[in-house]
Amino acid sequence: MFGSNDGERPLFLQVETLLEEAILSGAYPEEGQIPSITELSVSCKINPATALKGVNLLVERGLVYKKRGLGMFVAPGARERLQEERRRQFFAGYIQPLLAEAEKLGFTREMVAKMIWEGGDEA
Amino acid sequence: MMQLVNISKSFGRVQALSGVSLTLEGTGIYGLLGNNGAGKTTLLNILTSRIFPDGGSLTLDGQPMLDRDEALSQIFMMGELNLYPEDMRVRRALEITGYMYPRFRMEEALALGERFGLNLKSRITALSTGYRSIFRIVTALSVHTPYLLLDEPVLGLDARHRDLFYKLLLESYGNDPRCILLSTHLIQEAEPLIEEAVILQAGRILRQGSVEKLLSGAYQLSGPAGLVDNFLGSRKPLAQTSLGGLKTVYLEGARPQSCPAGLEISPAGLQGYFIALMEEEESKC
Amino acid sequence: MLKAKWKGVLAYEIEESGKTHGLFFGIMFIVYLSILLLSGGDISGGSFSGSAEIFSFVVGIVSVRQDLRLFLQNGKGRRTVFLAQVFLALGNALFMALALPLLGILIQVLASTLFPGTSGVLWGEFSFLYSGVQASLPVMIALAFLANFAVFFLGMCISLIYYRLNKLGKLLVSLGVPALIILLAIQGVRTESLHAVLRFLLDLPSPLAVYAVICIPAAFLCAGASWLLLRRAPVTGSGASSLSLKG
Repeated sequence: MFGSNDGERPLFLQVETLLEEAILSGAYPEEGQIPSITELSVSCKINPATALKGVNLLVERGLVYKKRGLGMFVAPGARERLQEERRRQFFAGYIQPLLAEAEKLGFTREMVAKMIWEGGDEA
Repeated sequence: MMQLVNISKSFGRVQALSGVSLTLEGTGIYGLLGNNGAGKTTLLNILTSRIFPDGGSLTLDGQPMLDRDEALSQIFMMGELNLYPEDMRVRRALEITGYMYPRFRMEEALALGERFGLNLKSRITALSTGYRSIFRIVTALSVHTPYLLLDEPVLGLDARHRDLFYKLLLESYGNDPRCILLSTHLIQEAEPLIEEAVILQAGRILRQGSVEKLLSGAYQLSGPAGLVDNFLGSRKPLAQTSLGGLKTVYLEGARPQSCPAGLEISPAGLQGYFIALMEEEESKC
Repeated sequence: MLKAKWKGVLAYEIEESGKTHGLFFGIMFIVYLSILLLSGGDISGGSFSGSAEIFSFVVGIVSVRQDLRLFLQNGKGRRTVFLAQVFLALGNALFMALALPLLGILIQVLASTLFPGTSGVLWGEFSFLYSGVQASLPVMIALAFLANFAVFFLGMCISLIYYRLNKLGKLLVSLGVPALIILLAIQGVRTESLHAVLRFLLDLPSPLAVYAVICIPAAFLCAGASWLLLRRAPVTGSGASSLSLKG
């Protein structure tokens, strides 16, 4: 209500997510180089310190490593580990909110299951 | 390190600045944020010795700064005022800045000018508002002094050029990290770029610090008016709005660990926080 | 470290002056050549010193304002601005001192070649001081240097006075100073003090000495006043601010 980027996720987390998606989709392959901090900051139009913060989160999680003088690279096995993490979070991240929302709207579990089986062709 | 202590300045009966203390150091992109008339340009003019403060001190690395070449040569400011001679052409102005600032890169300035489509042969005073800003931007990004002050850099720029400017600014900063102070009233646009904010209102610094810390100490709360008021108790919010029975308040303080039932908490954005601060200031008058 | 800074400043001053002074020289040449041709070789009594002094005065007025703004934009303080003006004052005076006789000689040569038989040696630079006889070259040079040097600072001082004054101040000065001068002159005549000054000047050994006695102190006075006015001069949109000599 006050400003339109109120309520948005912090930028450095958005950077983290951006890189996660790129690794998962194979856009940044394992052992391949990811863009430099400057490139990320320019492309996303954010302060390099913010970009660095986001990248460092991935470094801490062991998904990305830095090679001195050369840049930053996707760690081997990063893709699988990300998928693993995503799988673990799937329930809390998607299923629970789905069920909560369904309950709010008055859908039963059976109705939800039916929708899932029918692949969401409902208009 | 640039240090200002207790700077004050008045013009006749108008107190443009009072008790302004500020430190700029190392590398980073700072935002000097405030409405028109808050005193931003006055502060920048004092930083560059264009005008003299009534009181307070300015030092650069411990040495007094006012009207000293050693300090001034480490700072470059581009403001709205064109200080180049009336009939000077863009190219000549760039040349002269090159004479005066040894680290100025002419090739870089020309390349940047080309990116924006700046006409080098034009007289500066014949440029449109937007292209005057572009001329300023091109000069500023090519100077490479340890301190760079940009006063309303995107004045008159269309969306495409604004976008280009932000990208070029970040690129320039990435290649040559320095201390950049961006003075603007376009808070939402500036937010992603700045690490530290100095919020100026009516000549005083309202808040300053890292954007992250400032925003982590503020939040929005919304929900049914009754619940919100309950939660607030005797606390006064920075600002509040109501839409029918739905009330939203802006609060400063630590975010509650768990969200009270029926209420929704959302993080603060810099513009919203700024507007809320302004509302609080106004309510004080 | 300081040398590097001055390289840039001086390069700027020399280049900009080069353009304006070159133009001045060119125009003077064309004007006097035309006079020469139109008058059929009679150039008696012609001289540039008047035009030169006016030019120096204007340069003094304009340069300080332009440089104050330009230098502050480009990281140089008011001390540098002032020193650059001193450099300009010297350079300008030197140019006028050397260029004028040079031009005079050029015109005379042209006169005698184009219109042989005319009395060529009547180029009147400062001749009013020597009862119509042409002064010697070194004297001409010295006179031109002194006059143009002083007049530059006069222009600079007046320019700064107006720069620092607000509207009311400007009005007061514009009306008050001429009035004051007239009053002083009247008073001077009445109390014979003006006669004493004139007698002193006339007793000096030569016109050159008179010029020196007037121009050198005037230059220093105006330069000193200029510095006092410049050192706290603000650089803002409007040209004026409230008069303030102290910090």
